[in-house]
Amino acid sequence: MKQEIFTEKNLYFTFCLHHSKKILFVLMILLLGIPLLVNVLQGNVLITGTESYYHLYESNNVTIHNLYVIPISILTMVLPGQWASIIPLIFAICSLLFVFSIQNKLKIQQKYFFLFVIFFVISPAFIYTFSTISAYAVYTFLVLSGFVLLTHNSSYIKPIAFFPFILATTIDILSTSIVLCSVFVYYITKINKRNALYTTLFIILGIMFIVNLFFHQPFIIGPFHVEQIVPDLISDLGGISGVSFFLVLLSMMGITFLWKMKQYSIYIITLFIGISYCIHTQSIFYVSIIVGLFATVAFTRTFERKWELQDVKKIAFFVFFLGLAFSTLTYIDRIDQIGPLTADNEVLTWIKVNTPQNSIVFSTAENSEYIRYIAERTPFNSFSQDATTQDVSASILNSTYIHELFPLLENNNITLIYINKKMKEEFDQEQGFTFLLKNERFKLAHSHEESEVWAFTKEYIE
Amino acid sequence: METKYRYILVAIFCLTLITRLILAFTIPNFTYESYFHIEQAEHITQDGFPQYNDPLSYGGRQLFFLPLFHYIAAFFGMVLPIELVAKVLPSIFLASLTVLVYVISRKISMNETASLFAATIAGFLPIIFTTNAFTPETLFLPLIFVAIYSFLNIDKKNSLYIYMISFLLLSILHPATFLLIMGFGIYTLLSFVEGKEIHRAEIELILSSIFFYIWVQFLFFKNILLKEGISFVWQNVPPQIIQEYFPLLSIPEVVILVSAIPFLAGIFVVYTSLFKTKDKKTFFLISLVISTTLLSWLRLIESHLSLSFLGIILAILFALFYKDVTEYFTKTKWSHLKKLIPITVVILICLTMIFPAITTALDQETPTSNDIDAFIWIQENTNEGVGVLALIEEGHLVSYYSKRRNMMDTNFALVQDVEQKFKDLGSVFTSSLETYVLSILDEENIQYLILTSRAQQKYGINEFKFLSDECFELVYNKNAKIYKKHCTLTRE
Repeated sequence: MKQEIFTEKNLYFTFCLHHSKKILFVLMILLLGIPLLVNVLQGNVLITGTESYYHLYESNNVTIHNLYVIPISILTMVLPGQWASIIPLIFAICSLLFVFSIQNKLKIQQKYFFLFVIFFVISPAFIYTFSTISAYAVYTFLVLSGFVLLTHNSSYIKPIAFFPFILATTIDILSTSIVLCSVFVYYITKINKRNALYTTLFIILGIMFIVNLFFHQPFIIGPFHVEQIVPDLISDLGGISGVSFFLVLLSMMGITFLWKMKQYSIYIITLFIGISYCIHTQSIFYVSIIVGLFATVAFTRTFERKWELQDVKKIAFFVFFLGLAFSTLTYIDRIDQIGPLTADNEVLTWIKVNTPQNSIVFSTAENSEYIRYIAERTPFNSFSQDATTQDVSASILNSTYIHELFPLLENNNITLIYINKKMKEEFDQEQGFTFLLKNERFKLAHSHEESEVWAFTKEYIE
Repeated sequence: METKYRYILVAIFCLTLITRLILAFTIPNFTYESYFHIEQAEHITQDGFPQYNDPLSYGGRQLFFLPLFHYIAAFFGMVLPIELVAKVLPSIFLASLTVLVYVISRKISMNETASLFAATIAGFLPIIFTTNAFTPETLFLPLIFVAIYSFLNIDKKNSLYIYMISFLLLSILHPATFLLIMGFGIYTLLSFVEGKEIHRAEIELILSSIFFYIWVQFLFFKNILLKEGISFVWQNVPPQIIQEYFPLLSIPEVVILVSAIPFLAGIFVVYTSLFKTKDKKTFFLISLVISTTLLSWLRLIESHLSLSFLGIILAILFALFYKDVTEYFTKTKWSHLKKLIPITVVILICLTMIFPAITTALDQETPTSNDIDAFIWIQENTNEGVGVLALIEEGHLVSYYSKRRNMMDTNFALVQDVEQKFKDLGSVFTSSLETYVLSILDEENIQYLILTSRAQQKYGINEFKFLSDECFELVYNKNAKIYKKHCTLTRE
């Protein structure tokens, strides 16, 4: 039995290489479009993810510290309301087209490029980033557009690249470091001579890096969910994002292959990204790029060589792609659960219409951005709060007696409590915080399906 | 193989099988967890599929398990009564270990007599002499050694296909196939450290095995992995009884369970193989020993299974020990005593293994016939849809014999608040507060309580402490007792 799978002698592989751009484009549209379509057909809320609402809120409050939301601001003017859900798709399409352009200019070998992009596009990290209005979706769009402009033939177009690069540096310090390093590496490897444009760009980006440090820009933006190192890395373990376990396995092989090939620079970047991931799992997007790179190396090394057991080679290849497909499809199946649900939207809209504007709403930190954007109220608990406030929030959620709970609510002027389906599943209904809502000082102000809003009366009413 | 040795091997196989069958039929019932598997096999014979949505377990829930063993049992169950299959099939599977251990031992030791002794040890290992256990482990153990044998013979064409088929079957039989995967990893590491080159075919096979195993596990356990993450390996076992599933055994306890001879011989062989001879085949077996020990220590596989696997590997390694001892004697001035070695080994095996094996079989925890009658009475005399409270290990008896909802059984995966449930269940047997017990029974929708002889012995009680005539009626009293609840706590 012939065992050419990954060579030009294999018809299917040759076909894929010749039509790689079309295949990648269609694949990406399918992976990003299916969850959107499912939400449309089921009548669910189309804009999903806490981070989306954070950026929608920020796009209405553009400052010098969050200039990267300008593209979102512009697009939300054109695509208002639920239409904003296609903003990430627009970023994805543009980013992919930019990547194709860069590949042509840098003459990256087709098969490695094709494999890497496939591994990256089918990873849950990519799907999550480009299904929600996320900072890293904007970042990818900005950086790639910057490189496309920078590598343009016309010398009048090149300086325009400064703008997207500068915008990209306003996200977080990690992103600024990466864009700075990328420009530097491109400068010294591809340009290889003194160039005023690149030098200026590098200096400006360096200044932006220092400014970020000076203005205490976060190292990594977020977090926007309760972070768990292992599940957030391996999507099959239930994390909100991550990469397939098969890809992680393959990337571990790739690490050893590249070590033998003495490509040590990649390990420095990997170490840096790895440490960043341990600080905040929000950086999974960059981790997935590194994993994709190593996996591409391992995959080509493993399946290009001649195997002694030919049948086993085909089985391994088949099972590997089945496993990847399984991970991706499992993730797409559950991505519509990340929220907010229709019931959440209804209740939060009710809060916006029927409660005083200065109300402080208590809920879990994951709901904070929904409260801020949809309900247009101040959330008490959020991921960005100071340690004291987070301690108070934890005390409220863990309280089992009213004499613990009431002073916490009163002292912090909390008048509304928002409970959704996820909180009901998480908290014991027979004791603890949600059980205490049965006290007469709490009144069920509104409910829809499994989402509820409770009003807390400050004084005891006889 | 010489005819003489063939006959002896057949005799060992038959002796093992007959002993197991005699004990299996002497002890009237099965071990508690067997009834779950019997029920699944019966369901397949009726519906063609396992019962993944069980309306009786915990009052109704989804089950997650690998179905191969149940399909095989159901296949035989189509022509024979399932309870007969449940007694005979595990004994045949485990008796076949004698043949498998013989061929593997012969491969590594090239000594027929040593291999026969290894086969005998494997046949009468106390830890696997649970003759009334109808569990997937009874097929898992021989099948994994088929895979190991074919891996050791990978240079032969047919062995490749045998390996692939056996590994495929293992992947859909039991998640503990991870033992083999881990063994492969340690084997690769040991070979690398010792500067031994691994055959390219072995690397290719290991890689494919890893991909295939992971994919199959994700396929079957997707929902558990998504909800529980990596902690699913601990099967959501309540902390109060985790010690039963993953006990921390002392060395003397391990020696008793796997028997002193293979244990001591195994230590000797591991030492010589790792530091002196450094034979690749032995490396692989030692890697499996290390992987079993590691996984057991990390509480990633149940102790019973890991000890069974360890015991069989040690039985194989005994062949090398025997060969080394006889060769040593030949070189000394006591070479004339060499012919006494086989007799000595036979006597030692009889003393240290056969009697403990039979004792293990006789000490198996099985329900008494009186208790079973009580469960059958519930099916005949109560309405469908009632809930029955029994000990946790008797939960499967409630499903199998009584065909009623149980409060708890030993399938803990994805059960909410399992710790609280376990605590509540224990409280019913120990509490004297009727109101408290009634609140538990109301919450769990339980109408009947059964106090079997096992429960009476376990808690040292003849009847429940909270009983009152108004609320509980004794409806059955023949050694085991069944009470019907008449009261409900009303809540405002």
